[in-house]
Amino acid sequence: MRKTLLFFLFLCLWMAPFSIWANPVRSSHTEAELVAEDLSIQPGRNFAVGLRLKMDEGWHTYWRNPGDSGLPTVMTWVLPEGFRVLETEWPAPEKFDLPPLSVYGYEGEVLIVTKIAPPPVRSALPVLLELRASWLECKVNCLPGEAVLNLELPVSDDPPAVDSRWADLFDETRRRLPCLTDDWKVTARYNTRKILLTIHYRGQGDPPFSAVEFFPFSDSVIRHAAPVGFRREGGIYRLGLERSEFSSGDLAHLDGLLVFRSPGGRTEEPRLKAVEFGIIPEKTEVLEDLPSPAQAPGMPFPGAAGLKLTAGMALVFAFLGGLILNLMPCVLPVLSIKVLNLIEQANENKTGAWRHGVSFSAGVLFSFWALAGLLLALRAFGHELGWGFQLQSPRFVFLLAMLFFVAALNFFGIFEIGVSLTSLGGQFSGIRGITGSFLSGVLATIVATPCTAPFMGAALGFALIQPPGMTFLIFGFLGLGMALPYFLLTVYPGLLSRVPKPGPWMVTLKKIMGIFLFATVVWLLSVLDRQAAFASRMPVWAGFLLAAAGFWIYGKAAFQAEKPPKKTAAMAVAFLLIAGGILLPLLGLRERGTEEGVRVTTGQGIAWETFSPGRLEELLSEGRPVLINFTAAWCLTCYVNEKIAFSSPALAEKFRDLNVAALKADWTRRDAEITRAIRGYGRSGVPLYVLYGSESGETPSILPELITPEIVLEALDKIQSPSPQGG
Amino acid sequence: MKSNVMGLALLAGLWVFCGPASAEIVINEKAPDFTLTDSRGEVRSLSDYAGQFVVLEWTNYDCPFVRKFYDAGAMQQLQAEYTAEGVVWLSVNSSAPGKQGNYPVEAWNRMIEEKGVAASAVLIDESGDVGRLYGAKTTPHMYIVNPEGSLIYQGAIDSIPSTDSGDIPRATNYVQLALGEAMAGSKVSTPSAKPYGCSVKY
Repeated sequence: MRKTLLFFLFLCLWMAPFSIWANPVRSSHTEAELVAEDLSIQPGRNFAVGLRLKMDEGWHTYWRNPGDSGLPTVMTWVLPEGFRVLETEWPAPEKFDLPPLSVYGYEGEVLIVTKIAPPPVRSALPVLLELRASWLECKVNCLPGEAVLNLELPVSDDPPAVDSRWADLFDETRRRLPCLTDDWKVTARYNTRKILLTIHYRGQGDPPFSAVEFFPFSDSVIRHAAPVGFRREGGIYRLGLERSEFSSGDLAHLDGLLVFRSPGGRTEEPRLKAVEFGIIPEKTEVLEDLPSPAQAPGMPFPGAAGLKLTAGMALVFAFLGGLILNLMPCVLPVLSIKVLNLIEQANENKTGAWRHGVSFSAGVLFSFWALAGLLLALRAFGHELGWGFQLQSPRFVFLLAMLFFVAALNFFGIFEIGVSLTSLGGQFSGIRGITGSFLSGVLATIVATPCTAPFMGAALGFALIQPPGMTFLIFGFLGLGMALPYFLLTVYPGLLSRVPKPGPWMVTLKKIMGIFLFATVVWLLSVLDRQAAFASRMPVWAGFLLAAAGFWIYGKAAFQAEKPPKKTAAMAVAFLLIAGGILLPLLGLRERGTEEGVRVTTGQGIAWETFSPGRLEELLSEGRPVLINFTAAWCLTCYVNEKIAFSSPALAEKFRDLNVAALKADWTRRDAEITRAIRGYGRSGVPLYVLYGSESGETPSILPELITPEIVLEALDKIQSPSPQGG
Repeated sequence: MKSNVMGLALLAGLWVFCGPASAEIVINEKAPDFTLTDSRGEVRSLSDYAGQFVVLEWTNYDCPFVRKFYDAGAMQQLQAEYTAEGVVWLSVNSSAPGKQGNYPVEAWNRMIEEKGVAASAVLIDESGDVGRLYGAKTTPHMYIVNPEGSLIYQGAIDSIPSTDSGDIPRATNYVQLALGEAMAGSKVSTPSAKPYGCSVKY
């Protein structure tokens, strides 16, 4: 009998440790378990327990701020009397991008640690801790999960021993737990659209972390899916974040985690450090723009694809681009008229021409700088814009079309700019006065914007991520390149000696140029058609009619030597008609609402799909080569490229053979997503052609601005047989 | 004289560029127009309903957050209540083919009848264009447009993010709140709230 009792006692002692075993509970895709760091509880000593969630492959659960969708894991404790929950510590999460959303959570296994304070009084019986946990587990679709978990721990006066089963998990988790530290100082400035975080390292030397991510505690402060601007200068990290559409007005407080990462190398493990902070941000008006390494997978860092530019190269490229701009169809008509005028004047005043050259160059430079300044200013205020942004505005396109229209009327002799208006600058016929040349410089730049010359794209992309000083310098070189040919002609009139003397041929040439200008007006109206609502057509066409009538009357009135009262009346009528012709469409222009019917498929054979980061990711994961065509209706270079290159049947066949997917990104109107994508490739405008090979992880190649079928075919061949990697 | 011209030119320049901004969703600004086909094959545009309150409800019948409302009959009740008052309630599904929540038209009509959906129409947006136009992130994600065509509410359906139907009576329903205030002529007190739910399956 005693032996049996002893045996059972022995058995109980053996069983005792196993009473702290809490069986894991499974939901559809997650295993949940309540675990303790130690094997017993010591009265008066705080101890740590953890909710261990192990998700199936591909499934994730969420952080305390889940991001754009999902639910944070909720923990409700049922504890015996005297026990208090001190704090719950969430390890640093990961960010999952599921365009157009981003969420924060955990994959694989996570331990959410909770510190509990026991009462100082010892209890003889083991303690039962109960945790009711509920969470959301998601792969693509989501399922709720919940569990009631128990854990029984004995109480002992001795310092507890560590539970070896969970020691590694607790250690690893502690490395990922955030801490408050004096090593880092965080400040923030914000305006209505952006938040700029500045993080200073206060320790010795340079911290070993190459990147840092911000995870806010509140779910409605920032846009989780927006690309984050980043710049590092030694021990100072800067992050540019977009504010959430659910956060407007003043920010009283900003808190969250900063997760620093070092990628590690051959001899070093990748490291991670999480720092928690809470600060009061400072409100401001203007914030600087930081370059954003594109967030969507498959998109490289700026400059990683295509050419890596140095400042010097960018200046050279800008200059060359400016030179070539003179030959582009946008600028050529304007410039040839200027040359015609020069020929006229050369016979009258051989020595004064250089002044016009300088004035014209000044006009060009001024306009480029003004456009650059406007672009930078708008971006600092948070608008996602790139080069060519002015053409995304229907009002600007209309004004440009009107400008060409009026110029064409002038070329056809409907009206002439009289002497009395020379101070405003008769742009085309008979430039008199230095101001006239300055204004022609401005005009030439404005009409040049739909065209992007070779070299220009790379130079501009580089320019817009530099500090403002450098940006203006690069734009200055662009202007100099563009102004150079005309300038040379004014300084060396000898160059003009080869041109035949002025005669009736000039009038014919003017009329031919006039026809080109009308063609441009038609093209711009087709662009406007894509940008503006259907109802805007009438006001626009009516505007042109009024303007034409007004200029005709003006032309007749100014020319005929009529008696003053009649002439004044006629001029007044003309003025009213012209004003009406310009204002009516401006006021009546409505932006188009939906994308319906705006899809363009050019070229027979190439099946174009609409671009989106999600579709790109999908195609890349399928292993298909992808060509992205960033284009816009107002981009003349793009139009020419499409007619020349993408209409080629040989190219279409090659696309089919290699199963190349073709994505078209239409930037005719403002589109923040496409703007970000363009910036992700280190560029700032269209045209932009990006070719991804079928190898995953390979950086894509960027094709030149002017393409032919041969160039594209060659590029396709290259991705088929990539050059061998160096040893 | 010259500086006046320059100043005017600068102002004009700003007006040209900052004038009509991109069609981004902004509270109290015009809600972008769109055209979609509903489950019965009828083509409907937002502009058809000028002069009425319109509720846009992004939905996905397989999402646990949407089921929270539909299984309990709560969404159908809201739909019936407001359509009886002259509000146009449009459910929109932006699930891409092959993804959760995407169904052929016949299935839609069957489910609508089975669940007792009382919306004015259920619009099918397979390409996701309208969802992206409105920046719809989750299901459910609610938008309210007033008779003048301005957006007066966008975001979550109520104040308790969860999949538990038991939370519905305890939560503040932002749609009811906003419609109540707007219909009485007062200012909407909560014009936006971060939406919760499953991600829209573009």
